[in-house]
Amino acid sequence: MLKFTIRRLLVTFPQLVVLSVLVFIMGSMMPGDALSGLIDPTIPREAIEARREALGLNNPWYIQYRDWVFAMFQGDFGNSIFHQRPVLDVIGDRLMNTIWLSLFSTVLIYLLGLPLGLVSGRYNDSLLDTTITGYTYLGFATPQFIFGLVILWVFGYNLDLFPTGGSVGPGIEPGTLDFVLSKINHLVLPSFAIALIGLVGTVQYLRSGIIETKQKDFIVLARAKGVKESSVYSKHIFRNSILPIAAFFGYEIVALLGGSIFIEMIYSYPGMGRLFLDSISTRDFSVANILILFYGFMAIVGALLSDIILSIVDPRIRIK
Amino acid sequence: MDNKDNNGRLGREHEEENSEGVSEQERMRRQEELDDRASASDGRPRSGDPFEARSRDTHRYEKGDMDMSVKADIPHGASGHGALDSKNLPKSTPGWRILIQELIADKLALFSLIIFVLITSYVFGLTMFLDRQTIVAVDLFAINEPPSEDFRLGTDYGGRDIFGQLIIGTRNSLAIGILVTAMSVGFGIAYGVVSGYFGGQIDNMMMRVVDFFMVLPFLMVIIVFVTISPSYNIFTFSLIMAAFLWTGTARLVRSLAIQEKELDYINASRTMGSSHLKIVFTQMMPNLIGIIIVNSTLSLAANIGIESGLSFIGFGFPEDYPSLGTLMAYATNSQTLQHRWWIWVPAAVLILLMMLCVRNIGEALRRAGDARQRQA
Repeated sequence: MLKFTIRRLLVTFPQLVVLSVLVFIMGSMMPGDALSGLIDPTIPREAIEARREALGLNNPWYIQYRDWVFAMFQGDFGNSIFHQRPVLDVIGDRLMNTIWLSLFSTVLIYLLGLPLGLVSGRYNDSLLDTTITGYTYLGFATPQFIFGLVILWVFGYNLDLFPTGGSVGPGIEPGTLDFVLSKINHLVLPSFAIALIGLVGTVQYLRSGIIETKQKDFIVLARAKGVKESSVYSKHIFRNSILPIAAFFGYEIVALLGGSIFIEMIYSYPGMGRLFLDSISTRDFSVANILILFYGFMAIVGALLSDIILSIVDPRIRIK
Repeated sequence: MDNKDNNGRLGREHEEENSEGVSEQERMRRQEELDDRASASDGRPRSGDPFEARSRDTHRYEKGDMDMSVKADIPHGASGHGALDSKNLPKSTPGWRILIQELIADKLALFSLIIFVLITSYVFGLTMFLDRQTIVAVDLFAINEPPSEDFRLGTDYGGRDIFGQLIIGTRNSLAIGILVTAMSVGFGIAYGVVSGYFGGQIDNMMMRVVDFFMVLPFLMVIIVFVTISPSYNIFTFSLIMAAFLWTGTARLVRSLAIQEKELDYINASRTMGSSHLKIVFTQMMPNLIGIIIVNSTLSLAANIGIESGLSFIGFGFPEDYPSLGTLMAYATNSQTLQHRWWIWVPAAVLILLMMLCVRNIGEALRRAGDARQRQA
């Protein structure tokens, strides 16, 4: 177990290095550098050159890359040209919002997806199952942004049940109960929009898992021993069909963190996805770059997490 | 999928053979035949006069009655073991014909195919008569008009006809979807086949590259490349998209190639001195093509979705090259979303309809590849 984890950890280091090199190359391809936001037309050209030299912008790329990586290890991720603040602060403002959104949607996905998959697999080929399967079929073909717009249109504007944008109502003091309630109220639409599309994979995995498991011999044995039907499903079958879903947990979380760009844009939700789009359109590439690095890092960690979970639930992986 | 099934069928044939009691003698005779053929084909007989061996061989193949007798003492269906002349074997249905049969048997898929073909031909036919310049020209006297006699689906904030934009947009979305799919699948096949077929260190290194692409937040990277790309047009846009979307196909084709290269016919072909190139492209590829078609259909649906998504957030086509996503992007304005349904609802319906149709076709083809789920 430990050996597998260590070996798996070793694989992530080259991935991290290549990711950082790619982000660095993209950064140097982008117009503007660390001085762009500070340049005043009255400053003489020589002074700018001197500053460039002092900041190491004229060094060969591998020296620049080394300095860049070392600076990041010391917590210096550069400055945002647009916000005139350290990139880390700008991202930090939005980080919690995205984490809340992902957390809410994850909970919703499993809260709704698992029962649906269980019912659909248990009573397969019934009317209920056909409806659920039809829904997953539709869900696979629906792009998230269309679904998000429709939800916003119906529940946000036409029925006027929930706020249509932002993450908290105006003029509410942080730390009060109202603040928390307002936050939750603003989270309802975006997280449902993510979850109702996101759960189709879970439902389908669980459904096919259950249909496969319920024909196995040990289920027949459990029934023969006189185990109640409800606990045959909740204990014996469910536990065995949940494995692939548990294993995909790491990927799922990362996909949610990264995939919320559309939803954050539609609901004007001030999260990291929206920050990314804003920073691209304001040409604030230092922020966009660090965001890509961050998401890539999260994806590597997520894949690592998934593989470790998989090796815990399925011992066959470890032997390899 | 297909492979597993093939193995299953072979296994059953073995059983059949044994149950009908093929004698040891019979098996030896067939082994001899096999040896004869092998020696005849590479021109180096084990013993005796080379001409005699070859003439004996051709003699047997030419005489129909001999064939009949040979066929008669071999149990039906036990032909996959190489002892028989390949010309006389009952041919199995070719993969593509099974796909078509399955498509026709599956009513939903057939319906989807008809709708998809109708949309495609209507759109491509009509765009020949529509002039992009007049449609995207701004008309300030007809801003945000609801559907009427003049404008079948109303106008947008620039007074541009929605119906015309919808038609051109559908064509652009479809064309780019197909272009991206062709590029990414083509590269993915080549990459996957090389990686899977050669295996070993090459495979190991190539797969690390794929692993790396898998962890990239591809949507964001595509957006960045779209913004910093110096010459930006439809072709570079598709190239950027394809550059980050080939890994799925590559992984799939690699896993298939790994299974396939262990099979006897590859070894046999290799023994006879066929080049790797010939084996991969003329002998192995026909066995993979079914699954590749299924995979490309499903990625076409996904690519149409990704393209319209990118255009929706403003990093796809420019405004004077409308795509379905560009029309959807108008709906980010809350006034448009609430009060001007004619701008975005038709585009949304079309995107949904096309993705559903293509997916239905793909799913039907996927079922066709899995003999247990066939309906025909």
